[in-house]
Amino acid sequence: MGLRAILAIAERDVRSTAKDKMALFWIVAFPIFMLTMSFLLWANPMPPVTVKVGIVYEDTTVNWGNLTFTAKNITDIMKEVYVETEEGKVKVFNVVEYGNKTDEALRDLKAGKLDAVVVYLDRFSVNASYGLSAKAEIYVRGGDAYTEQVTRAVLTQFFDELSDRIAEARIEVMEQNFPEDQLPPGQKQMIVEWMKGLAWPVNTTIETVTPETLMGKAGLRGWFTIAMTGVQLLMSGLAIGATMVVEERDRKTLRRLMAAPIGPWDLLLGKTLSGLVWLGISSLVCIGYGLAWGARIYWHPLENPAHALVPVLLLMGGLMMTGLGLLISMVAKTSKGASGLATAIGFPLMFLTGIWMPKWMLPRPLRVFANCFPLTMIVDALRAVMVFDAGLEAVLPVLPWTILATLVFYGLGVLAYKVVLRRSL
Amino acid sequence: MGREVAVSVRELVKEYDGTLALRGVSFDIYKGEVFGLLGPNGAGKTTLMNILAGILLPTSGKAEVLGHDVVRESRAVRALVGFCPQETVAYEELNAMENMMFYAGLYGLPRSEAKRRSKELLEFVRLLDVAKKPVREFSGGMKRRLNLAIALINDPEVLLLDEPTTGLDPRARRDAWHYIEGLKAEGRTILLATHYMEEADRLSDRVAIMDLGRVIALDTPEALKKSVGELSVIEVHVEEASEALKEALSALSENGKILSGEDYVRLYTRDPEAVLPKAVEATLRAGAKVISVSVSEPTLEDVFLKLTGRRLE
Ligand SMILES: Nc1ncnc2c1ncn2[C@@H]1O[C@H](COP(=O)(O)OP(=O)(O)OP(=O)(O)O)[C@@H](O)[C@H]1O
Ligand SMILES: [Mg+2]
Repeated sequence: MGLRAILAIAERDVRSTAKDKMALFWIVAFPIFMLTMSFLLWANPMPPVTVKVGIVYEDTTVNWGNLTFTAKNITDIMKEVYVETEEGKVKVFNVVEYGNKTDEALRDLKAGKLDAVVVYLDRFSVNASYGLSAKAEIYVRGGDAYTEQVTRAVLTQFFDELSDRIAEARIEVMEQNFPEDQLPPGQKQMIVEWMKGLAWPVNTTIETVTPETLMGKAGLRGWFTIAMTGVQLLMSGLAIGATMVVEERDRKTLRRLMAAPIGPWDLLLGKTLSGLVWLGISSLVCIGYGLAWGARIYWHPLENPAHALVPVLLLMGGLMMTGLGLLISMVAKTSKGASGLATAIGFPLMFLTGIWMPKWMLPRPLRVFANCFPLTMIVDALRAVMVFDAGLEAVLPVLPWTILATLVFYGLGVLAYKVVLRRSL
Repeated sequence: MGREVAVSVRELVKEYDGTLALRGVSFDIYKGEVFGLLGPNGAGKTTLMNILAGILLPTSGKAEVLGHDVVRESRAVRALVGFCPQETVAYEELNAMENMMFYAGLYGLPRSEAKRRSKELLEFVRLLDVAKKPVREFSGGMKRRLNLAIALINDPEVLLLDEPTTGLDPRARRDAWHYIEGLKAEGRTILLATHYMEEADRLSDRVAIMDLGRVIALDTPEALKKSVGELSVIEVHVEEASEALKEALSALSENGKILSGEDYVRLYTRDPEAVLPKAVEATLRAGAKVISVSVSEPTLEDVFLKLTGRRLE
């Protein structure tokens, strides 16, 4: 093995690729195109749902002048409920008032113009104001399970919360007007606690915790950015391996190369080196472009040692796919055929291995396959580390298997390379 | 002759699944000589070259270059030999200088030396002015010259030139001959494969005529031509050589053998003075327009014809 010869071969290959428009398309334009499309189409979190709700007052007391709390007050509160998103505040309810026309409201619900109808039954307002149970009926539009579930959840949550507040206010009022002097000391406190138990037999608190890194656009874009890096390792890696020997044979340069005092290893290593350079460039293109779109990508190897392993993971992915590409080259007659075959094999893998499509979208048997496909492991580890800022615990467990797979794939590739080289001379 | 042997080939046989490309070839090439390998398509010239270049294994037999066995010491052989194949070996998207630097790297030349030598060689083949142009834009002749410069990058003692002028126009061919003569003058040993008899005749010290994987004659061009015998050649140059004309002239030729092309017929005779007027008369009678009639010496083409009964090209 001669270092000079290896470097000469690598340098020549890098230069030639830099002048090959088709190769540059795959290395630079393709990932930019794919990332742009996915950022625009998919990498947006689901917007919050606005529930279109019709309000009917069968309640004849709703307009009594001296009440402290009426159904109308609830409607006013509904109109002012918002959720915060990255894009700003979004209304939770879109309220349509139907006066006392229940039929009309239900007709609209059936026609799909509303998601739900709330009917405040008679004496709702007066009961609510005087500490009695105020009754309302809620109709939710069925048919689409997803919308139904969301509508139910949103309304339930709203009225639960409202109930809680009312209970709280009532207990407070009672507490203030309590004839304390007529009871033994400490008795008042006991009664208040007992009433709270009546109002809230089970007191749960629910808080939504979104994984910080998946929250919103930035995280999703990070996910896709690393996915694209994985796709590049897969597609370009396969193509590099598949065309390595055949291309030189097609160009009639192979014999001339081997007429120089070099060995098969020099050619293999020089070509592999050049391939890794381009895979590195392509990864940087993906990550740089993702960052420009605000993707969340972490990289601080001094604080997180797992980040220092990122280049190692990329290197292993590149070698693995190059080896697989070399195996493909055994059945290719020409370099066009070889790169076509590499694309034909790489394209389905891009979806089936969960590198580009999230694994949970795959049917179960494929998920098993994706889970043990070594490049998927590498991409998952990269995502864990770079998008979710995970530590070594996300990388170390996959290292033994991925290192083994790299050695096996590239090793088989070397054997295939030797066969193809011998056949080509 | 007590001359030093540069290349020795013994009973070389090469079989490609089924086809015998070489059927036992033996010869020695002396140091400093230009050794011509003349033969038609498929004679086995390229196969022989590839074996000597150390990139093809012979089926049997033995070959040595400067004392190194081409199989067992293949790497040593490849370091000493300059190989100039039939095809363009430059990368078309790169420029001439980049190509030279690449091949220099393959031979392990350090960068500064590679640069110096590349410049020198590009100058030698008159490509220095266009060194920064992509090879894609080169003419056929320029590409061949670059091939030659590449073959010289390791300053080889032995040069293998495989059909260096095939496909070139006459001017570019003469140009190439000029370079080969220059390389011979530097004392390099050159194996020159060609199917142009004129090229072999003019450049070679000795010529091996090959046909169907065998060397069928080996000597200096002069001796080979003399072997055609005491025959003289009458060449009748006409506007168009018809079958009738060929038939008429063949009757006048020794053994009835003639060599003909679209616009000429060559016939052989021991008595040119008597046959020449008859040939003119026969030509006129066949209704052909005569351009010229001349008496000449035999060429290597005539030798090949005599040996195989076929034409060279
Ligand atoms: N790789 C190969 N596989 C099978 N047969 C081959 C191969 N290379 C050459 N041959 C055959 O071997 C014979 C000699 O071929 P070779 O190329 O050595 O001839 P050549 O004298 O160089 O011809 P040309 O003037 O056309 O270059 C031919 O019959 C050819 O078909
Ligand atoms: Mg040939």
